[in-house]
Amino acid sequence: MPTSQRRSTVSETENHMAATQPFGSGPVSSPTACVYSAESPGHDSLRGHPGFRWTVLRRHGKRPLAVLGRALLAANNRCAGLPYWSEISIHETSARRFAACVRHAAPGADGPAWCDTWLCDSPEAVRTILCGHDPLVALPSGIMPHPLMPAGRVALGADVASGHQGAALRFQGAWAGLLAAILGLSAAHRPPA
Amino acid sequence: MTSTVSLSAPAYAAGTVVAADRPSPAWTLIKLRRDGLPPLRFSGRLIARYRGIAPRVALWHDLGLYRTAAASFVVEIVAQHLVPSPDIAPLEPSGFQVRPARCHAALFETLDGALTRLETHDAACDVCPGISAPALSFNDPSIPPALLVMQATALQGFCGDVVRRYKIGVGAMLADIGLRDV
Repeated sequence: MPTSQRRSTVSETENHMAATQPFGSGPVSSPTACVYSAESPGHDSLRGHPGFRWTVLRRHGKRPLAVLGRALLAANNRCAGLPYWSEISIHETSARRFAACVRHAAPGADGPAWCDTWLCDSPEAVRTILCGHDPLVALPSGIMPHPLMPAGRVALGADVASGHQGAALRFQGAWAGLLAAILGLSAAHRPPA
Repeated sequence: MTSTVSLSAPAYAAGTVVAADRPSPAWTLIKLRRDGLPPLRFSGRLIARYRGIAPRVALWHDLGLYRTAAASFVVEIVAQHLVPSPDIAPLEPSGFQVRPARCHAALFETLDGALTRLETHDAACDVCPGISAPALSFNDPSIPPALLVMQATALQGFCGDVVRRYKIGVGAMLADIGLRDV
């Protein structure tokens, strides 16, 4: 059967929203939707070491970051009872830089609901980025009346907001616990430099 | 007229990335609606699509990225919102119907230009208070100031959620393209 006879319409397949997509082969030469971490040839000292491969790391509102690297660590606070959970993963690139990836998700969801990645030059920069991240940016606002609701009904939203605040506090606390597990107890409470 | 559906706890909105099969050998004629402009017509194929619809969300963005036969790129950004269904129209479960609130589509010579458009789009501009977003009735003298403040807070929260969900969508769609040859 000639391949040209295949259906010409664009067929759509559902694709789960992975935060990271490892690719064994190198990047293609034609333009892609990624930003590549700047790996200067002179400092590419770890290229060729085992475990290094191209990985696409999702970012928030921006094109993803493609790094040639390997995963150093991944930790999450996914456990029963938490309304939202978080995950931190740190990758080392072939130029000895670090990519810190933060994900927030709801249990049972297909993929991360919020995801961002930062490229850092040193472990200290990773620590600064992670400590400076506010997990509450990932949460929906508490008051969400429908647009067509009459003005007086908006007040009811405040009740929802107060219940929502409890969930937000637990989420924040769980994030601090995750940071403490990775960076040490004092680091989680240290303000960003 | 009103529904209490969105008074329940806000959902952790997560849309769906719909990836196009690759390679698509043939080009199809595509027509995209634009606000205030004639539709954008071109011969092309879909590279990636994101649908932002999620439970308990009143306004969301659907995104599309296309490649044209002339090697250009087209970005489609459609803000969708829920309106009350007239009576017997096909209904959303809550009695609402999906309607486009704002339609943007533009053609770009380079992929970088198209991606920059997606990254820099101000999703808050697609919010229309009183129609697709909480009303702010500051022209109504009968509204007490305290209620006006609550309305403004609600609108601010609504806009923040719309922008956050838009950025989630852009990140998810572009990460899905990843290292794929477009």
